[in-house]
Amino acid sequence: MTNVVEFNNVTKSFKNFSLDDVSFSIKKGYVTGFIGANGAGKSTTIKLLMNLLRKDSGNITIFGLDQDKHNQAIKERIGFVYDENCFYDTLSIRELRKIIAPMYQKWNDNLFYKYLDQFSLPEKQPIKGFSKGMKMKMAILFAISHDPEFIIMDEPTSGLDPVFRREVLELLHEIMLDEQKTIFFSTHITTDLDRIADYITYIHKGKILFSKEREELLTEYGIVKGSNDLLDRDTEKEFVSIRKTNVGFEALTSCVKKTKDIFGDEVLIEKPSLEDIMYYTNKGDLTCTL
Amino acid sequence: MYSLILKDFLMLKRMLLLITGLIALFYILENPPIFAISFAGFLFVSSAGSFEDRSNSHIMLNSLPINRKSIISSKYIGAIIFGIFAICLSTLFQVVFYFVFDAYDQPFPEVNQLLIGMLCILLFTSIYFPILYKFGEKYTRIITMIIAVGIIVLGQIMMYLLKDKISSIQLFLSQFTATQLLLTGSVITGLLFLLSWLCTIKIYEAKDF
Repeated sequence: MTNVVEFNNVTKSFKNFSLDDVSFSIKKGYVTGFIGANGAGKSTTIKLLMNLLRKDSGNITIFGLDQDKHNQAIKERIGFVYDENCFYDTLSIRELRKIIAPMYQKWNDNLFYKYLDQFSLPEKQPIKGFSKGMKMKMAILFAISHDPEFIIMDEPTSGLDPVFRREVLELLHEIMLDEQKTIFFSTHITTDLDRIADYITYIHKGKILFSKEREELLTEYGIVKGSNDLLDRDTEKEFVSIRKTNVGFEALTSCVKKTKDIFGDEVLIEKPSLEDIMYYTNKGDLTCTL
Repeated sequence: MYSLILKDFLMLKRMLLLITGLIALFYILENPPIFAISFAGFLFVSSAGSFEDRSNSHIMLNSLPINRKSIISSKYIGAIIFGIFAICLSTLFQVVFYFVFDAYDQPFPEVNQLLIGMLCILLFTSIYFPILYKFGEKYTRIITMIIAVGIIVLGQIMMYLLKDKISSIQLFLSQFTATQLLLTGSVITGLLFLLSWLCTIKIYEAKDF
């Protein structure tokens, strides 16, 4: 299995935030969901990936090519969608096409008009008057009309209504039928990932906590429920974090097997959702990684 | 590169209409073309710079398969193309005004006038873009204001200081022909323009978006 992207010890510091020694990879042919709380470093990572930020150290390779040396060749094969509109809003789709199409060698007008039709977007109206959903459709339209191998999306579903969100996810699903394609998308709506993500990369306070297969993740992690008597200083250490109530505790474990060995049948272990994993990790500020 | 330049003209299509109107106005008021051209140039160059900063477009442009160098170069080449456009336009107006309204002494504007107009545009571009790409639109407006006021104040001070030496300066300048002076001016402006072009590329390449 090859990697489309490799981050090797990438560091980027800002005044009050830093991405510290980040290393992870994105597998070719799969959808990788990129999750993390607001301000965890999702957008910074995506900007580094797109070469919009200058890294302080480390290196990033995309399609096996060094990002700095082959910027243009790499971008040729990438489609991008950002959460905020970054297109000139006084222009129409028709005018934007005139500008953007000649920049891609592999621009495909058939694809462009096919999706334009499918999304039923007005071609001649300035995009200033578009709704948020229309703007997102337009961004996707421009992202996929040059038939990219790798699609990067920064929060493509945030701020969209459920119906439209589902539509976007279905479209991504359709794109993924071609097994050569790779999608990397960040979101804080973890239920989106239940539908399509094969891999999950989790960033927390500027550090990658894990990057692994979703199924594997959901079998390793578990929500543990039991009576408060079971908790003492030693056993509490076994959990990522714990939420105690009068009737008992609920906690997240990052190693279901070990928890079973310690507590046996005294606790109930349930399959966690991605949201559970995010919530407890944020709460517990854990430092261990798998 | 073609797309990038096309984009500036598409973005400023309304501005171009306004500029055409303004050049016409300058001609109606029988001002020398040099004012029309340089004023139109200031308007075009400063709007071409500021609309990029106002929309989030740096993020889009830098996600497309183009290098940062080309993004900056398109701005400088765009300024030259606009200069040529303004020169053509003002020549056209003069022809129209001469033949239709019988307003000017000659059908074509003087080459010197057109050349100085062009030099003004290049000079403004050389100063404006490095500042814009270094400090962003908000501060650039303040900085250009300070520079404009500074030039006026400095001019006044120089006039005061050099009061007694004006005749000798005039004497010095009169050694040269107008062509020689213009040529020197063109070379200096040209060098400044290239230097500014390279500087702005360096500034833009080091930038975070």
